[in-house]
Amino acid sequence: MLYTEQRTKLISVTSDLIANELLECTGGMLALRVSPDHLLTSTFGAGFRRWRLGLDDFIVCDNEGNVVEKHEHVGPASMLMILELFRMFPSCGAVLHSHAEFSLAFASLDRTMALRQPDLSVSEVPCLRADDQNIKEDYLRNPYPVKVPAAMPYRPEVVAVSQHLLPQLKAKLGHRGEELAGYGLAYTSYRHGLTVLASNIDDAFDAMARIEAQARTYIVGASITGSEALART
Amino acid sequence: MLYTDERKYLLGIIDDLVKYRLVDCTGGMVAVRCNADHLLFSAAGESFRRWHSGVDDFVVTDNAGKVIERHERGAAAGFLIALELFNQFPLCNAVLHAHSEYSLAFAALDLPVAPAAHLMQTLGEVPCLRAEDQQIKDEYFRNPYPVEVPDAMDHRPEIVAVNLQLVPQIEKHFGHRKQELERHGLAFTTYQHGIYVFARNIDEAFNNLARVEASARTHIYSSAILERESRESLH
Repeated sequence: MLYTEQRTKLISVTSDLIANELLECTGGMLALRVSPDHLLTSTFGAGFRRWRLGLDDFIVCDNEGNVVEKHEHVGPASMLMILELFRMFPSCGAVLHSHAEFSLAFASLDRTMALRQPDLSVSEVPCLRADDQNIKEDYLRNPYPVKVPAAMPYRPEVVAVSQHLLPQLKAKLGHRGEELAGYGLAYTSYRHGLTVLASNIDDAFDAMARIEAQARTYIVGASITGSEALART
Repeated sequence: MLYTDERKYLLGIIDDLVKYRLVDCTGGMVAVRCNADHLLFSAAGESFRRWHSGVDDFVVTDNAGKVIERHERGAAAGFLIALELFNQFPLCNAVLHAHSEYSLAFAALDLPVAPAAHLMQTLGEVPCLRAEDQQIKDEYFRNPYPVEVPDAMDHRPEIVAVNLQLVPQIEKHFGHRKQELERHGLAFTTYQHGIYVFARNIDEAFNNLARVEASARTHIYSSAILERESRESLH
C-alpha cells in the first residue's frame, strides 16, 4: 500500500476535524500532495459512512486524475476542483473541504467573508456561485461532452457544475497564490460548503478552524448585538 | 436472542447519533425492518438512560405490533408512528426519531424545514405534522376513551391518543411521495416535539437526518446574518 504514513495522518486529522466540530457526516474531503506526481484523497461517500476510515479508504491518483492505487471506493465527486487547485497552486500541499456549520450559512447567502488573520491583515473568503441543481438538471436533460477524471465516480453532471466554478476560482483566487506561504487560501461554494488550501494539512486545518471561528463569532454576535440588554447600555 | 447483529448495528448508530449531536437525552428512537415479518425497535426510556444502550434494550415485534421478543421495557413512545411508516411504505426499512436541536426549533413553530443548501435539495420539503400533544393528553386524562395500546408498548394510552392524530397526516403528506424512497429518505417533524426520518436503510436514514438538521441550522444562522446586516445598514 502506498503512502501509509500519510493515510494514518489523514485519519488522525479527520478525527480532530470531527472532535472540533469542523466536519460532519453530510460530506467533506481531505487531499494531500504526497509527491510531485501523486495526490492522496479521501473517497466518495466517506461522510455517508460517518467517517469510519481505515487505511483503505483513500485513493492515490496522478495529477491528471488517473488512478494509481484504489481499494473499494473511488475518489471524491469534487475531484476536478481538487486537481485544479493543486495544478493552479504549485505550493499547495493540502486541500480540505467541509460543510462546516457556520461558514455554510455564509455560503447559503452567497456572502464573501472577511477573514482577520493573526497578523491583523484581512483576507477574503469569496463565495463561488454555481446553481448546482439547475446545472445538473440541464446537463441530464441535454448532456454534452465533459471529461470525467478516472479517479472519481462517473458523475458527469457534477463535472458540469465544477466547470462553472473553475473560471471563478481562477478569477478570485488565481492571483493570490503567494498567500499560501502565509495562512492559506479559502473559498466557499454557494449553498454547498467551505474549501481550504494550504501548504500542508495542519495549516489547512488551522485555517479552517479560524474561518469557522470568525463565522461563528459573527453569527453568535448577531444575537448579542440584537439583544435588548445591550441596546440599553 | 433474536437479531443480535441488527441490535449491535443499531448500537453503533446510536453512538454516532450522539457523536454527531443528532440525538440528545430528552428522547428518540431507532427502528429497522429485520425481515418481511419482524421489526426491531429501541426500548422506551433509552434517552433517559442517556443512551447507554445494550443488546437487551430492544423490542422485536411483528408487523401488527405484537411482541415477538421483549426484555425489561416496551417499545419507545414513537412506536405507533414507526409501525405506521413500516406498514404504509414497503420501501421503508428504517426509522429514526430524534429531538435534534435545529429541526426542533422549526417544529416548535409549526414550520416546514425547506432546503437551505444543496445537501438537502434532493430530500424536498420536510413538513410539520400538527397535534396538540399536551391538550390531547390532558383531555384523555380528563375523559378517557378506549384506545388500543399495542402490547409492544408500555401502557401509555395518552401517547397512543396523540399518535392517532398524527397517523392520518402521514398518508396526507407522504402518500403521493412513496416512490421518492427509491432515491432518498423522507422526513417530517411533529409539532413541538421532534423529527422522524424514514429510509431504505438505517445508514441512509442517519445521513438524511444529518442533512435536514444541517439545513435547519443553516436557515437559523443565515437569518441571524441577514438580521445583523439589516441592523448594521441602519447605522
